[in-house]
Amino acid sequence: MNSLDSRSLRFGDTFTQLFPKSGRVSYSIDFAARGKFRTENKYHIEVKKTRERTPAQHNVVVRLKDGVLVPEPSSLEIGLGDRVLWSAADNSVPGFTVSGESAAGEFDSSALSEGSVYTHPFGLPGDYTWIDANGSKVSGVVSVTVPKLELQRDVTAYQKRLTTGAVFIIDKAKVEPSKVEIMVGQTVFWVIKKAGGITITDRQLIQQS
Amino acid sequence: MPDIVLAADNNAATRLLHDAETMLGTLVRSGSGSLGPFRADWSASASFANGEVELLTPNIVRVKDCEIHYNLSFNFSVNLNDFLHFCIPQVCVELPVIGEVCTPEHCIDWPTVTIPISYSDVIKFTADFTLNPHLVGSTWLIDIVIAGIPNLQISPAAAAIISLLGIAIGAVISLIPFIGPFLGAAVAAIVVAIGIAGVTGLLGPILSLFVSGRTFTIYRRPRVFQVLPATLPLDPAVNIVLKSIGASVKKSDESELVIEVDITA
Repeated sequence: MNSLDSRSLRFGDTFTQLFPKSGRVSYSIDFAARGKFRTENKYHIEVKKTRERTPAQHNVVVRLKDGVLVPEPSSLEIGLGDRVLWSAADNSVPGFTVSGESAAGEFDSSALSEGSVYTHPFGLPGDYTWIDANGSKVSGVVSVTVPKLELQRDVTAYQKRLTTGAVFIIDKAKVEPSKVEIMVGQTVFWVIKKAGGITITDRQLIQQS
Repeated sequence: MPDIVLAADNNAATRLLHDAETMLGTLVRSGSGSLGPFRADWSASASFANGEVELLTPNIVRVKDCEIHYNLSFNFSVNLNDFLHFCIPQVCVELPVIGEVCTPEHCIDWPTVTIPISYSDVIKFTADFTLNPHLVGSTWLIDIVIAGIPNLQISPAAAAIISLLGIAIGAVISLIPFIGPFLGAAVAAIVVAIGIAGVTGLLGPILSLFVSGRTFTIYRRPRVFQVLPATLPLDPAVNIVLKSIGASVKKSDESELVIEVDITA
C-alpha cells in the first residue's frame, strides 16, 4: 500500500522518459510481479524531427483490460526532445513496468537511467530511507509529516503545498539534496541526469524481503 | 390444608434469588442490528447477580437492583468514500535536462473498513416478578417470571461506547495512506453519523433480549423422592409423592414467600 519502489509503478506513481533523438520507439508494459519477463506486445512512439520549439509532455494512461495492461493512447507521435509520462489509470492497475528501446538507447522504469524521472506521492508519515536495489551507493531520505488542519487557513495552505513537489537530482553516485521534507500527500520527483540502471526503493522493503 | 408449608422472608428469598442467578449461569446471544446508518453484527453474553428481594402480597416478588453483567462485541463496515473526498492535485516541476514534468491529478478511492468494538459493563434494574410453580417432567419448579420489560438505564453505557467508537475507528483508519490530515475529521464524521441514538438503538434491544421474559428458578424438588431406602427384599423403599405445590406471598408479621405442598405416600 503506497510502497516506495520504482520497480513497481502503482496508482499515483509516474515514470517519465525523455526522447532526445528522432526515430521509432518500441516499448512494452509488463506486470512488475513478473520481474524481467517482457511481453510480446509492443507499442510504438514515433519521435519526429521538429523545428525549434518548446518540448512538450505527452501522457499515457495504463489500464487493466481483460487481464492485460494496455496504454492509452496505444501509439504516439511526438517531437524531438519531448517526454512521455506513464501513469496508472486507477487502483485496479497492479504494479507495472515500462521498458523499451529508442534511438537514444534502452529505457526501463525498473532500472532508471539518463533522461528518466520517477515520482511518488507519500501517504503515510515517517522517515523513508531510499536506496538502489541494484546495489549502487545512491540513497537519500524523505521525511514526511502530517499537517495540522485546525483552521481554514491551515487547509488552504496545505492545498497549496500539495501542488509543489520535492526533487532529488541523481548524477552518477551523487544525490542532491540528501534529504527532503514534505507533508503527507506531497509528491517527490527523482530525476536521473546520469546513472546506469538504478531503482528508488524503500530500504525497509529490501530488509523485509 | 397443605401437608407441608415452607416460608421464607425477604432475606431468605434474596438468598434463593442469588442461588438461582448462579444456577442460570452465562447466557449467550448473537445477531445483527442497526448502529445509526450502519448494520452491525454483534454477539453478547450476560449473567445476573445480586439484587434484593422485597415480597409483596399476593404474588409479587420485587427484585431491586438486580445486576446484569454483560460483554458485548460488535463490528460494522464503513465505506470511507461516503465521508471523505480527496485528490492529489497536478504537480509541475521544472527539472534539469528533462524540462517541465507535470504529474496528473489523482483522486483517492478510499477503502471500506470494518471496525471491531468490545465493551463490558454492569447495569442494574428493578422489576416485579410473579410466582409460577409448575411441574416439568418429574421435577417441581417454582419460577419467578419477570412482569413486563424494565426500563434499563443505558445512557452511561452508550456514552462510553461512543468514546470507544472514536478510538477504534481512529485505530483502524489511521494506517490508510493519505488519510493523516483528515483523520480527526473522518472519525468525528462517522461518530456523529452514528450518534448516541444509534448506540442506544443497538444496545437497548440487545440487553432487552436477556431481560425480556426473564425467569429464575428459585425452588426445585423431584416429584417423587425417597424417604427411606429399601433394606430387605420384602422391605421396599418409602417414597413421598409431591402431588401439588403452590407458592404465594403472605403477610403476617412480615411478608413471606410461602410454599405449600400436598403429598401422598
